[in-house]
Amino acid sequence: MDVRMIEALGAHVGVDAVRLAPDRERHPDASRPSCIVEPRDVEGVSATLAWASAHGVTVAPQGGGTKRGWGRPVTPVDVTLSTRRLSGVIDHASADLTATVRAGTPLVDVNRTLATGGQWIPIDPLGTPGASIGGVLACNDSGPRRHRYGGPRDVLIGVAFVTADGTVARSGGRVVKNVAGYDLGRLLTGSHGTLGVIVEATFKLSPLAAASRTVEVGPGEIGRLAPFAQAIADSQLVPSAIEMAWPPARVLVRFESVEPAVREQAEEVLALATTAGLDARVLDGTEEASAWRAHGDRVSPVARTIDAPEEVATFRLGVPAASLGAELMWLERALARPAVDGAFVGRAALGTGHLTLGGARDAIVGLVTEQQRRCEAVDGYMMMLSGSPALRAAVDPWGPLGDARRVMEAVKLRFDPQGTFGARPWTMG
Amino acid sequence: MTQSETGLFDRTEDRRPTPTFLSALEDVVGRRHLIDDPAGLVTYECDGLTYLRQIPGAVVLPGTADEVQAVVRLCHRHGVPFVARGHGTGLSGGALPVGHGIVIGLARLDRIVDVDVANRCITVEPGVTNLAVSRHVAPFGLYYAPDPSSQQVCSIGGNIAENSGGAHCLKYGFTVHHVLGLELVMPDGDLVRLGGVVPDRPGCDLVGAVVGSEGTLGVVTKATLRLSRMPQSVRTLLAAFESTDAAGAAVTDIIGAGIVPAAVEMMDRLTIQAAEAAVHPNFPEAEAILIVEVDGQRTEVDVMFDTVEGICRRQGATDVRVAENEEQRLRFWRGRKAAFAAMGRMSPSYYVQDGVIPRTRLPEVLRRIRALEQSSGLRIGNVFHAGDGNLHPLICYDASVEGQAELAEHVATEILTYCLDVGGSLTGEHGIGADKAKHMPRMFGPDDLDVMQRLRCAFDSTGISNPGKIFPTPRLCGEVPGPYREHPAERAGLAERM
Repeated sequence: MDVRMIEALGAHVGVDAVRLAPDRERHPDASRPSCIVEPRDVEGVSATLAWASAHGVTVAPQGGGTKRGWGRPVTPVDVTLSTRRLSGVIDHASADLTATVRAGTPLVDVNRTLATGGQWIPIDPLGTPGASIGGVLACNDSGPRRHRYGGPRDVLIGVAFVTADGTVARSGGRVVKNVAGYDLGRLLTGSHGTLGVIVEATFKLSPLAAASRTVEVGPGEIGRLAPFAQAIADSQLVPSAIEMAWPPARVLVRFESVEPAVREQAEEVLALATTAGLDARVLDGTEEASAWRAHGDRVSPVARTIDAPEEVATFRLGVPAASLGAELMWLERALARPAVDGAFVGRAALGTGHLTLGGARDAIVGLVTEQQRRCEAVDGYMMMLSGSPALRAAVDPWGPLGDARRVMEAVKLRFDPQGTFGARPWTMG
Repeated sequence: MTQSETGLFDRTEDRRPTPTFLSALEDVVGRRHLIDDPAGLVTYECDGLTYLRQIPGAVVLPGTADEVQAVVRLCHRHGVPFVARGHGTGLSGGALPVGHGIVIGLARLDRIVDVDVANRCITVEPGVTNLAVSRHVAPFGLYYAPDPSSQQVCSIGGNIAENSGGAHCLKYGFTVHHVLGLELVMPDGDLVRLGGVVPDRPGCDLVGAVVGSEGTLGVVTKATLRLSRMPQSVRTLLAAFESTDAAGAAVTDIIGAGIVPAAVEMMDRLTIQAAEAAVHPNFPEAEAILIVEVDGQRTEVDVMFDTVEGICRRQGATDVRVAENEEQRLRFWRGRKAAFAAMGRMSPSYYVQDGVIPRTRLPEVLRRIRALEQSSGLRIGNVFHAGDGNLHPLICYDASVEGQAELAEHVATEILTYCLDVGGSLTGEHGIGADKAKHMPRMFGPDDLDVMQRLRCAFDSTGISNPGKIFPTPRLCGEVPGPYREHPAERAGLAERM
């Protein structure tokens, strides 16, 4: 895009909404993103996209910018469309357990507002404090509480979004139960900005619990902690989270409910751990908060685009929950070589989480290729969240997608035939 | 009432199944499983919504996923529309046949394919009944959470098509929250596997898009379902109130106390009387009753249950009955679940409506329904999923009286208006189907419907998968967009692109 086009865009959507992109805000892998557009409202988003489609310009939506490197980012990017100014809670119907929010609002800000009414959107991604509602949805991000509450798709009840040609569309509604029409909200969740820009979302909320207790089990051997976590998941206890972290292997089991229930369940887990010969302790108050903060710090989502002698890459890994222990033990053996370090943080009963690898690039390429093959063999997945351009060129950033790949391409062609949000994002290379 | 009378778009250019086509179908499923005689076809002319009827061109009953795929391929090649059918219990005409098309009955695909206790999931064919799933995994202390009232007879495939709920969806969600993966025959005959045991696969939630798509995106031939651990404790009470307003206020207070019950059901005077007469659950006489069920870990349940009981009494409950054992708990539920069928004893005919409102707007909506009762002269019983705002007005009428059937339909449509007026939905459970397609433009704008149909075009560019459902006006899919493709005539040198 040249200066005249930028001026034309400014004239179209308002000059105060358009600015040149400084280097530090460049999109990873982008050639030369020329400008950032920050529309003031939904009409501005629509006008920007209509203009972009008409002029063959590529657009990358952006909320908090915390997940720009996830999967295979669009290249080249002419315009970054920021939702930063689409901010605020539009409606909190606490007696109906619903809230409608503008997609550019940071998730933590929304939950801070909802907390005054004793409720929250039960989504708690790790390591992305600035994440916007729209970004969390677009990338289907979640955290420890996914164990109990489901992911963003499970709590999204209505959505408004803008398609590549500027059409504003809604699906769902503001009621928690609704099967009228297609659930485009689910389609958009995990679409990584390839189908449209989410501008508004309505959620089914959960009440905030009165009390919390966490049992920290370990450190110990994966081979003993993984089965322990599975046994907790198979029991009739109702934790809000069962997290596995490694290395060293540790399990965090959290209970959030009324005080007598959390105390009793935590003590039961403690007793089970002791019987199994595992170290364990019950945490509450500031100790508990510290433990969870430290747990979240183990996730490193920051995208790096500068070629470095040492590669650092993060992935979202998923295997059947009952196989997670075996998979981590394989990784432990594979990482015994001095060339690569790794760490995992994830949901023990779901088999999903963050894997961070650091070290020699060649060794990482080999390891990732093998791990992706192993994931595919168990019908799992391994998707890149951050990594150097060289690493992206060497491995498939999406990992094995199976039949879904061609179906998503077919959907993409219908929603964005011109590739305004990038052409063929789901294919490698 | 026929399909054309409901004002649905009639695809007159559809080709009627020819003898050649029927013969090809027979080659796939065998003579025994192809139905084309008038008497046999009548069985398939409607689903649970009996006022909409259409005789199909033919019915096939495939026995395997391969046969389903072969049938759909034939339909695609010959341009013959198809309608997939589970057990025919749907209440929106979702399985209503297309006149010149075929019905693909999935009842023979009734195998349980795999049970994975360690990963808490089960893979089943679409013809398996909902309750059969729970029964099969009960020995492992597991169950399948979505529990529509018809669960003894409805099929998993039908549940998936409609995204069925049930009494426990306030806490446990609907079918879409419990489907991990699907095997789907696309409308062009391609077989695809979507999703899987591991949740949150990278990319769009294609499984979530197919669940609730009412058979318009292809035919499901396998589903991997998430199983839940049976709760440690379940406690249920029944509370009688002097008004639906008081019962509704109790629910508001329960939610306000930070409690999410497993189920909260409300019945009004007429439905209470009907249920009592039909199955004798020993319900109290009252203007309204609430059935509240709390489940989970033992201590948590005890604390929440005491709070719920206290709230009911504070809101003036005239009678609070706590189920002391499983038998009593099941009796409460038998009474509630019998409500629909029980209305059939109170009235020669009845029309079940399905609408959703924000729960807090119940008082004003019920007041409008009472006024409608007065003005129409038709009695209306109400069963209400009080926790999630899903309303089931049961409109009583006598079909033998001239004009009453039309009046009942008019009343049912009026109630949908009340739901939309307060920001609700046209349907909470039964789906849009053929019945409510004409109302979609009242809930969604033209751009909303157009964009939804882009999804449909991505799966079904020729519009043969359950056409005429959900959308009142089908969107022509046009050319498949994408890279330039040489037309056969160009390749043959017979034409040029200008």
